[in-house]
Amino acid sequence: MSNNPYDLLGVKSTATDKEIKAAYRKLAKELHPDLNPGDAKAEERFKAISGAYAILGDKDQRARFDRSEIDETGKEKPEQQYYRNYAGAGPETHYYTSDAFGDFGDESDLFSELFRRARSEESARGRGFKGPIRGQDVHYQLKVDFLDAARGAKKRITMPDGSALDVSVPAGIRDGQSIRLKGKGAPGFNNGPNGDAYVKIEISPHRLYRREGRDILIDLPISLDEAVLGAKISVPTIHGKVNMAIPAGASSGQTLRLKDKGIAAGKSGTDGDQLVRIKVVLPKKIDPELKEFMEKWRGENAYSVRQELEGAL
Amino acid sequence: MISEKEAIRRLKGVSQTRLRLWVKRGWVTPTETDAGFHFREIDLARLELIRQLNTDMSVNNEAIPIVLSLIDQIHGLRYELKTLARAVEAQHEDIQGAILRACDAARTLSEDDR
Repeated sequence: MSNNPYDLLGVKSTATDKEIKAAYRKLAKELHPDLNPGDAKAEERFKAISGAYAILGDKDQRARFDRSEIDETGKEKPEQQYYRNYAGAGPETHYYTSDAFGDFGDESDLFSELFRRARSEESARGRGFKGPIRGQDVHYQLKVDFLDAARGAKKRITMPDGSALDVSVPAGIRDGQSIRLKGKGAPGFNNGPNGDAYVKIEISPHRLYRREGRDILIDLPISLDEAVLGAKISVPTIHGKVNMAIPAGASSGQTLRLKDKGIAAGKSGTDGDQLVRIKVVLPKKIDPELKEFMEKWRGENAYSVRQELEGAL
Repeated sequence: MISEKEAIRRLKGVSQTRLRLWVKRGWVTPTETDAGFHFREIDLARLELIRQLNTDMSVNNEAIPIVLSLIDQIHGLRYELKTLARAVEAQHEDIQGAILRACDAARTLSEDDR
């Protein structure tokens, strides 16, 4: 049921005062509750047309109503709400646009992360029949082995539809990091730009190498004689084999450093090193000759190694 | 939700033809339903803005979509800027300090580029 007083009285908004008065009178005669004792709704309907006539029957009120200064109940309409009062709500409104900073994502991956939320909200809602819409971002997971992650590699992700995504894995990338591939996401609409692809890297552990910051850690087993006499040993690194001089008297737990044999720093910072931890391994079987020599040697050359433990317990 | 009829009534001096033209041009985007267009309060406010630009400020038809686009871009920027500022505000004061100093440094840098 319309609240519009003109509709309630059944007259055009261009009706003259005379016409309005006549219309009201006619309806009043029909709807007055006292003239309709059997009609329960009569009061309600009469109230409606009375209210309408209170506005339209009065020259001033009618003029104010026509100018939208008051509503159909005679209440003052609030002052015009300007567009800016609604537009401040951000992505809730369907006029929200991130066009003004659409290129901020190009500055860095952090910028992209900060602002892509805004852009994906906007494109998810769609802009009705307005212009170009950016495509959705797509997320992938890529398992990379330790060496590829450490040295960098070119990888290929194959989609179920047969197409492929080439990913350049940068040297030194960390487990859980994401690589952003601009424009490799879902296609846009109405000539809108494509979304981006985000590839999350999962690094498989290596059976020998471990990573700490930019350094690579490895345990190097050496034999008893190598420990006593020292040796030149070929040690694997992620950059290939390296000859290393083990000093005479090297003990288990000692760490030797191979400079710049860790993860390359690229543009910023210093290259990492490879840290080689010595592990002295005795022969599986102690032959009688060795045993005999040791017992003799011990007699004159015993040395203490558990000083630190004394006093504890 | 406001009907087309109601919208025209509230917009003094805008005919149905003119309103439908504005919608067709994409200056305002009401929801299309089987019963016709449905306008929200924000659409009404935008229509009033368009009317004032056109009638009161003599901005012509070529310029109106440009003006609307710029206004919308500004609102988008304002919203993101506020969001970012609030995020910084929620940080520990040490982080806030670091961010403010980094802002000063970034400003000085870009002045040097000129």
